[in-house]
Parts: sequence; structure tokens; C-alpha cells
Amino acid sequence: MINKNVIVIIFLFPLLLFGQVETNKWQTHKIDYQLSVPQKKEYILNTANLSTVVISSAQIVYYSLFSEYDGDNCPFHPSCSAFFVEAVERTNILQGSLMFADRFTRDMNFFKGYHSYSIHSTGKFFDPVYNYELLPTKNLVELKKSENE
Amino acid sequence: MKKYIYILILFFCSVSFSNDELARQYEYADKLFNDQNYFEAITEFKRLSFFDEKNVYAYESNYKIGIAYKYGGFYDNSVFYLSHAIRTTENIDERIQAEFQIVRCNILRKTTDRALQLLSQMEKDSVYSNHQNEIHYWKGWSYMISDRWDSAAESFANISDDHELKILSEQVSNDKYSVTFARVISYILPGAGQFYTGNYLSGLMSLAWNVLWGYLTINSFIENRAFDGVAIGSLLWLRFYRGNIQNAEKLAVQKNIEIANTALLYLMENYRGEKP
Amino acid sequence: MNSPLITRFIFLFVFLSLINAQDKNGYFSLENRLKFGNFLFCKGDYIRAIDEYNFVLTKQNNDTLKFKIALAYQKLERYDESENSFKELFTSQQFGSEAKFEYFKTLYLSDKFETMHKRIADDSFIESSISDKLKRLYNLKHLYSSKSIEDSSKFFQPFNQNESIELLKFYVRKQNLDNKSPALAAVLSAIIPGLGKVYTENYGDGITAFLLTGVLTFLAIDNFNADHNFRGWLFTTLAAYFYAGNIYGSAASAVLFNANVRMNFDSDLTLFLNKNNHFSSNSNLFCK
Repeated sequence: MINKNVIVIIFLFPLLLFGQVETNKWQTHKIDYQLSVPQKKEYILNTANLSTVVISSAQIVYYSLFSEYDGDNCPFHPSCSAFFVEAVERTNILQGSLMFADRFTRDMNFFKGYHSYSIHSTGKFFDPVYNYELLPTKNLVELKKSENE
Repeated sequence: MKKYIYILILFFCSVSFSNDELARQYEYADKLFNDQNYFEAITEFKRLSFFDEKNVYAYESNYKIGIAYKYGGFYDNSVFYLSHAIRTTENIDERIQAEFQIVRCNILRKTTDRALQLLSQMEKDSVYSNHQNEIHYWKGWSYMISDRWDSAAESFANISDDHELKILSEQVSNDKYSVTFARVISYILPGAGQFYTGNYLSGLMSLAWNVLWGYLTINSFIENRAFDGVAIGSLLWLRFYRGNIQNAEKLAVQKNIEIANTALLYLMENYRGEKP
Repeated sequence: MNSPLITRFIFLFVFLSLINAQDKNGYFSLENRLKFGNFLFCKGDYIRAIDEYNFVLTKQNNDTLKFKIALAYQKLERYDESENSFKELFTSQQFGSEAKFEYFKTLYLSDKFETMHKRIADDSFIESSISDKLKRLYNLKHLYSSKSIEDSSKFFQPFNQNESIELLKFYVRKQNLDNKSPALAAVLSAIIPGLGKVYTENYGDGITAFLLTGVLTFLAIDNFNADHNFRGWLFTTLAAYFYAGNIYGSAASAVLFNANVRMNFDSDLTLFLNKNNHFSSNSNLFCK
């Protein structure tokens, strides 16, 4: 829905005019030849509180037993299970579950993606948790803007 | 007569005395540059070229500003000043030197396609006939940085058959797993691709899932529960069969990146030859 | 006989040197540092220009340079430093009002709408020369804010006629931003599953939600009818879960819809303002 081209143009324009602008005094740059490693799934037990412990340990089991082996089925980033865990972490178990049910329904939709989602660098539909936290419009707009930058 | 000669000598002395200011500024900037104080060096070289109205030091200052930006990671600026340096000199050797630096900036910027394009142009140009080895060397580097190790090995082989980097590139391209092979054998036997890349646990898990769902599917058909058979077969077996192939491919790609990165890390930290 | 000759030579040498070396103080004289700094400033190498200017300022007081330093920080998007530098110039005779305007412009650029609002209200010493410019800035910023917009006579007062015509479409659009009510979306979805999603224009999601809850409910009823109580309860739970999830999701999607509308408006406005360059930069004053 957001016109990405507009944003790209706004950010490219100064670059074309001035090359790379030095905003601070710099030191010698550390050169790295290495190829970027694709992000691996995280196997971290979150011990913030009881519900996150349960959810994140369930996630670990799910990842190591099923998710690795049943193929790349989720069209979204973050993936459905990661979305669930993050939703519970950011809100609470009840709201997180509701958000997950909603995500699951949107996943079932055959015609998704023609309007609502932008494409993440992984090539998937970008569908972050904060979009569905019922944040005040102002905060949500700020989050979305910072994500564009 | 003698008097005039003295005066003439004195005049030239004093001319050199004023040009001294430029020379001193150059020395000062160059000292900063050699002390690896690149930010300050750029300032002083810019000051030098600002006051250097006759462009005595035009090449040197632009060239060194370009190199200093390269050390700072500002590759766009670096290419800009190096191209500028080329435009300010008629000396062939100086131009070639700056050309190669532009190539090296492109390698560091990971715009290796551009670097290779420039190098092929140089290869055809007779001006560079004495620099063929250097061209091959940087071609090899471009290929290494862009993860094309067999092309890199070929380029280094043009320099010498036992070139250190040729041996390294060959080794990397031999060590790498074939992603297609991993896929194909996983089609034939689930888990085989993972075994091929040394991920035995993943291989076993994939095999186990496929055996389980395969058994349940076939069993349903044997027991004449065709609906269950179709359901399990299409929803679960097929899913895990496809998943197994994707998993094999993913692990092979991961392993290849690890292998390439080990070599690149060696180049970064232990390789003693010339680096971009 | 010898000694006057040597004296004469020495005298000549010094004289000729002086002719050749006009810049006796060298490239680091105040004048030359200033020249070099101006050159860097106009080339857009602000970080180095600031250094040169700061050196000059250690030897002499110069409001132009202070102003340019503040502008340079603004260009570098180091807004905190820019704000502070402009603040110091408020009392300057030459640049006082310009600095004040640029200070507010920095607030504008760094999205500090609240501070801008407060400062403009507090400040009773805003010169008339900048008050119109400032009001324009402030009113434009208002278009970005989530606050309700001023009535049109007040809003358009500082703009000239052409600008007003151009801005009118944004003003009207801002006033009638197409907002969806999360509560209404939730209520609609509670009545018919998925209707709230249709209301927020996510038609596919709405139909999917309707089908999903429908199928699960059907399965629950079917299983109860066939006396499969366990399966019946299982499907009832699932149906209830997705029913609730859809109500929540409809509200969330209304919120998201509103945020996207705002984002679109803001980016269109930014594009418009950049294209029309309503606040063309002050560095043009100093560079040709």
C-alpha cells in the first residue's frame, strides 16, 4: 500500500548529488570480505516469565523436530511460529494467541499480498508483529517509518 | 657579470623558497597519510589542491584522497577522486596506477561485475600489455569476492601454475558441495543430501519423517482407507518429502558459504600478498 | 669591500623571497583557513568546513561563521548540535532572526513537533520578518501531526495565493483522511465473521475468515449430531478461537489501515514539499 518508489526516490536523491557524505570524523574502516550468512533460526529459551518459557520451549521443539523438515511453507516474515512467540513476548499470552489466530487466517487466504504487504529482504511478505498490537496510530506510523529507514 | 649570475641564483633560490610552501604542505599531508591518519590526510590534501593553483600536485593529491577514502570505506568518493586523478595526468604509469585502484575499490565495494568489466577493457588495451599479470590477479580477486572460485583459479593460473591463490581457489572449489547433487540424491532417498553434506542428524530426521508418513500412507491404502491415504499422502508425506529436498539444498548452500568464508577469512587475516 | 656586498645580497634575497612568497603566513593563516573553509562548505564537505571555521573562531568572533557551522550541522542531520548552535545566535544582530528561523526549521526537520509548538507559543520576540515564514513552517508541520487541523482561514493566512491553491488539496485530504473505526470493525466481525475485514478493505482475509469459522462450526455441529462429543468440543473450541481471533484481527486491521493512510499522506506531502522546495536551503546565500 505504501508507495515504496516514493521513499526510494527521496532517499536516493541526496546520495546522487553529494556522493557519500561524511557526517563524523572517521577511523580506518575494517574491511570484511566474507559473504553474508543467511539468518539462522534462533533457539533461545526466553525466561522472562512462565508463559514465554512455555512458548519458547515449545518453539524450540517445533523447530528442531518439524519445522526444519517440512519445507519452507510460510509466505511471511517473521514466520508463523516466530510471529506467535514474538506476539506473546510483546503483549501477553491472551492477546498473543488472538494475534496468532488472525495471522493463521491471513495465511490461509489464497489472494494475500496483492495489496497489504511489502516485500521483505528475504523475499517474503513483511508482516511484523507491531502491526497488530493495536498501537495508537501515531506510534504505529513512527514504527513503520523507522522500519523504512 | 658575476654579480648578475649571483642575483639570478638568488632569485631561483627564493622562487623555490615560496614553492616550498606547497612542498611542505604536501609533505605534511603525506606524513598524515603514511601515519594512517586518513581523515586528516584528506583534509590536508584538499587544502593542498585548493591552494595549488598551477596544479603541480593535482595528481598526487587526488590520488591520495582517493586512497584515503578507500581506507575509510567511502568507496564512491574514492572512485570519484581517482577518476579525477586520471583526468589530471598525462603520465601513463600514473593513470594505470589509478585505474587499478578504481578496480580495487570496486572489488571492496563488492560491485565485482563493474571491476571485471573494467579489467576486460584493460585486457584488450595495448597500453596495459606489461600489466597482464596484474589484470589476472585482480580478476582472480573479483571472482573470489563474488564467490566464483573456479573462475578465480583460472585467472590466477594465468599468472603462474603454483600461485598461492590459485591453489587456495582450487581447494575451495573442490571442497564445495554440489547443491544440485544434494538435491538430486535427496529426491531419490530422503536424507541422502544431508548425509552428503555431513549433516547426519538432519539426514536421519528427514529420513525418519518420510519413512513414517510413507508407511502410514501405504498402510492406509492397504487397509482400504483411501481417503486417509490420500490425506496423509498429500498433506503430510508430500510436505515432508518436499521439505527434505529444500532442507538438503539449504544445508548445502550453508556449508558452501561456510567454506568460502573460511577462505575469505584467511585472505583477510593471514594472506601476505597484495590485497584490494 | 666584501661585507657591504654580502649585506646587499642578504637584503636582495629577503626582498625577492618576499615577492615570491606572498602568503607569508602560509596556508594556515586565518584568512586562508577561512577561504578553504568556504570552499569546503560549498562543496558539501561540511564536516571539514566546520573544523576550519572553528579554528578561525578561536581567534576572532564571527557570527557568519557560527551561523554557517549551525547550517552545516543541519545539513549533516546532526540536529542536536545544530539546534544548540542556532540558539547561541539568537542575540546576534546580523543573524538573530535568521538563526531563530533556522532553529525552528531544525526542529521541523528533526520531527520535534511538540517542542516547536511549545517554543513558538512561548516566544514573544519573534520578529515580523520571519513570523510569516515561521507560521508557514509550523502550519506545514501541522499537516504531519496527528492533531486536528486548524480552520482554513488561519491555516492559509501565511501563504500566498499560488501556494494556497497547491496546498489546498493536501488540506482537504488531511481533513477527510479515510479513517476506519477499530471498534466498528470488531462489532461487524462479531456479527458476521470476516465482515470487519471487508470493512477495512481486506476482502480476501474477510472471506477466508468467514469460511474458516464456518467450516469449523459446521464440523462441530456435525460431530455433535453424530455423537462424537470429543471431536465436537474440539471443533467448537477451534471455531471459538478463530472467531475471537477474527474479531481482534479486524480491529487490528482497522488500526493498520489508518496507519497506512497516514503514511501515504505523509510521503505524498514530503514528496510535494521536496519537489517544490518551499524552504530552499540557506547555503545558497553563501555559495553561488
